[in-house]
Amino acid sequence: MILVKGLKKSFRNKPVLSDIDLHVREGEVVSIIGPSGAGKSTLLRCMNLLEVPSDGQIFLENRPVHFRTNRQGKLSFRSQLQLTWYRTQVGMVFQHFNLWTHKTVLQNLIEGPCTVKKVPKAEAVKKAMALLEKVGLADKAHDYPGDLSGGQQQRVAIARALAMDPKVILFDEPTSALDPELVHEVLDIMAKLAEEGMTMVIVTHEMNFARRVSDRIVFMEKGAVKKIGTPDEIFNNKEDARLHQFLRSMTHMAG
Amino acid sequence: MNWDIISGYGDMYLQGALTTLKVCLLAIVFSTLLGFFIALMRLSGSRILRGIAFTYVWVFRGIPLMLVLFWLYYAPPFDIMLPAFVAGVVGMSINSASFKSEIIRAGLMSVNKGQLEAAEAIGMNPFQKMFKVRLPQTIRLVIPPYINNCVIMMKESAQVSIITVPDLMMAAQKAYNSTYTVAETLGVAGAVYLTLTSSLMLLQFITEKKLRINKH
Repeated sequence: MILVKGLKKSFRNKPVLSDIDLHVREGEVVSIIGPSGAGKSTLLRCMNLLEVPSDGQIFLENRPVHFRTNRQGKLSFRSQLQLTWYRTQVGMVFQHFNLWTHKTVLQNLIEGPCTVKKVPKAEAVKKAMALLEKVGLADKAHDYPGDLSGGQQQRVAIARALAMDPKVILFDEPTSALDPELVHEVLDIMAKLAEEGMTMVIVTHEMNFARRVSDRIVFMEKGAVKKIGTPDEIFNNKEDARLHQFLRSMTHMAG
Repeated sequence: MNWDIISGYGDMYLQGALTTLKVCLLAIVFSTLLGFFIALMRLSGSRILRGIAFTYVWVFRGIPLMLVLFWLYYAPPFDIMLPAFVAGVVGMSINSASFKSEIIRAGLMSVNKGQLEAAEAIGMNPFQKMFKVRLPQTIRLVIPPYINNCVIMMKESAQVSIITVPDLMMAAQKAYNSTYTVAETLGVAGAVYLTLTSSLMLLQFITEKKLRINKH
């Protein structure tokens, strides 16, 4: 589905990601874990081209994704115009939800389909309402994001990504900004999506969740992929001292 | 208060007020458009565009409106003779665009970056991102300073009378010069100006209320 080859990223000549290879298959749930500063979020943002890789290639279903930078190191204007095909197929859920605050929940959901994919409004509304039903927020359709709790906002953000019918959804620490008691409502929906066969890449600190839903787990450190394996291989690992230490500190934190 | 004087000049005042209103409304429209593009230039990736925009703001924010009006009307570049009304509108637009561009730039910059990223991530192109996400939020943010600037413009428009535009100030001046009464001429003009500026403030009140996001 998504293939990342030799991806590198540096900020002002300081390398942040070095030579990342990652292949996410259709229907697969891949979690990326690792200490802070390991480059997990940067990798995810590079996969969506919110950060432009300094080098390397990205393929979506064997189709190469072309991107060029301008002098500021941002995506060139032309690339921004040309990447619509890719962005519509790769959904993104952010740590801070990033819902459009001047639009109602329903408007947030139909904006992408109507503006980008030119779906007729009535159809988009119908689909949006079904998605809100799915995330349990149909009664909030006409509220503004500012009136919702963090957990509700993130559920709306997931529904917004789903409204585009993406082939894969990237989750950038989707529960890190939530009050602890609201985390489960977001994780429950993500688990449901995983069960339905959605292809997902998740950067997370929720170790138990990653272990439960992932097909594979990627352990990153210092801008490199240190280990990729099934949850069992990662969590029962004995050889890699650093991974062992990281997992122990994470499970300590969770109590 | 001598009502006969007021009714005697009534027609001239009405024409003058209409001219003031026309000059101002046209200048507001043009300066807003120009200011928007200058703000975009200052935020653009191109060093040249940024430099041009910076210089524009630096110069026209720093020199008097009256000087620009004089220049356009009495000593226009390339010998293009402009009618007084046109020179007035152009001069005010050029002058005010420098202030408006800064107001608009501040608004554009205050839009939450994450919301712009979300727009990009969902596949919006730069134009859709601007018109669907960035501008609607910018407008909400800039209404108070923007209307403030428009009120100042309306008062400053009195300066176009210096280059012979027959506006409200010109009418007041004429009436005063031939009657030497104050309340009936300058006083009435003041009241009309106050009415015009008040309508702008009313507009601010209404738009702010209408665009407020949480309506309870």
